[in-house]
Amino acid sequence: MKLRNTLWSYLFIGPNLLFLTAFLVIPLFYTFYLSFFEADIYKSSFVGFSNYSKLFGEELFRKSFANTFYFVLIIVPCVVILSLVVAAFMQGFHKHAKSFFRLVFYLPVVSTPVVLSLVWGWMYNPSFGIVKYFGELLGFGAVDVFSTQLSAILALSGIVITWMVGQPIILYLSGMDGVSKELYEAADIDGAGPVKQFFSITLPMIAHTTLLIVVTSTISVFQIFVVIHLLTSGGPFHGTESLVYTIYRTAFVSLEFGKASAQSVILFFIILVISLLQFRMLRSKLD
Amino acid sequence: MKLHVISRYAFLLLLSVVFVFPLYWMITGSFKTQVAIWKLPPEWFPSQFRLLNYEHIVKTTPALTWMFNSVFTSLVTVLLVVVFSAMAGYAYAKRKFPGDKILFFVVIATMMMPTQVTLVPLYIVCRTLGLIDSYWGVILPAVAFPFGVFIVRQFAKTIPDEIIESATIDGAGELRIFGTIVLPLLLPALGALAIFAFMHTWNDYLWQLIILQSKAKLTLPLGISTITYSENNVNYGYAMAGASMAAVPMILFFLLLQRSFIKGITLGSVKG
Repeated sequence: MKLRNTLWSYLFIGPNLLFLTAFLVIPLFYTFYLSFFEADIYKSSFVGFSNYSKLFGEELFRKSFANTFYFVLIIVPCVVILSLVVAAFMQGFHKHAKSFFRLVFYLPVVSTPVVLSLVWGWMYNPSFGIVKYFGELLGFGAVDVFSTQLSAILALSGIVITWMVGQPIILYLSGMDGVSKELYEAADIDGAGPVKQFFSITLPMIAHTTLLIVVTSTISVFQIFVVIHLLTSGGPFHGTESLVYTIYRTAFVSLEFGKASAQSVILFFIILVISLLQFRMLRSKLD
Repeated sequence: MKLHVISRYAFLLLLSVVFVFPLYWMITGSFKTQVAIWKLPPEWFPSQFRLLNYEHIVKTTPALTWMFNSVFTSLVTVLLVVVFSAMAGYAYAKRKFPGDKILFFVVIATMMMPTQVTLVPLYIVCRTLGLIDSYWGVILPAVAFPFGVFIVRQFAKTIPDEIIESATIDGAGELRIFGTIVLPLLLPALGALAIFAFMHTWNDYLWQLIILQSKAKLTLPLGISTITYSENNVNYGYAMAGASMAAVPMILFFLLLQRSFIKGITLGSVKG
């Protein structure tokens, strides 16, 4: 009876476990293994830590490392603040107004990164894009956002932000709905205004949601790829090249599998540190 | 107080314009001629709607095949993800077996590991399995979707044990319990999961870029991104028509199933 029960359990988890093992667990260990080899599609030879030591001496890699952090430092705070403000502003709105705005801010999320990249590519076009039109209207002259590193990073970040805030807004809305009404009533009696109430009640009560949003959006910014691939190809002068884009190029354009694996391992450890934070938050919910 | 509310509305409406404008620009742009696209000041509303961009795309590219490829691979993935996640999520939530804690830890650990880390070995694994440039090369790696197990498990925890116990006492077999009692109770979570998995596969651009090679095998997002740059000069009319073809079905899908989308987001996240 007990054995039967166990067998059935394994049967239930089996297919899923098979896929996780074949396409996630084995490849992960294989990444570590490959990172010690000089490998391309056809051959490989053991080189120890030399992939790693070479990487740290390489200016391009340091640059893509730094670029990825720039993206994180710009996008994550913007996503948190923007979604917080939008959700807070929606508090007290009529049900229909709430669902209207929720819909609007979620539209970019469902309209596929590739699509948004293409549309923004046109809007940013230096000779007949809308951004150029407004630039001239406001007296900046024609702007080519992809001509300098700073403006290119900002331009790409802007696109990424529009498709990243949809989820946090919904999380904040449900978080704010969960804050007990009595707290606000008590604050009203004490004569605290809406701004004070927001900072001393709402914000602390949803701190957990904020932490979650910071962690998950940081992880997704580390994976930034599509906008870069479609709009700048890493340029100008590798100024927008991110870690994932570098990995992609090293592996599938230069065909240096070993080196790309070493880069992947470094990305893995960065994300691991952030994920551990996320795991601690998950643990409270697991049981 | 009134002014306070009005200014909030005004701010949100202004921001909404920024968010919706690219989609408006894409759809109207897809009906514009090349001349109208180049116009400055921009033609805010197309003076005439023409289908020529769509005609051109359908005639010169396998856009309809790309559409089919995307829908087909996404649907098959969703089906497999939903079934396997339901089975595993139920087992992790409701059954005790040797190694259950450790194996579920593996699920959580893989859930937090970004797939970008394993691109190279995944490519090698798929080449070994002969999956390069095939539908299965898109589908099978996407079926490894640990997040699904997590969602289902969280949801299955809320099913009372008594229901399952009394069915066991009544002599129902394992498959019967799962199929007629557990599965129907899981449906709301599975609906949300299906949408999530669908979007995940539909948008998995990087992996599809690596695994797919021949033009007829491309998925829609991949295919349309080649339209813009394939010809010598950038033609945004064609690109916008392609982009509309990729985006509009998803947007309609979202409008129809809004509730499930939102459920999926809040279900899968940690709440304080």
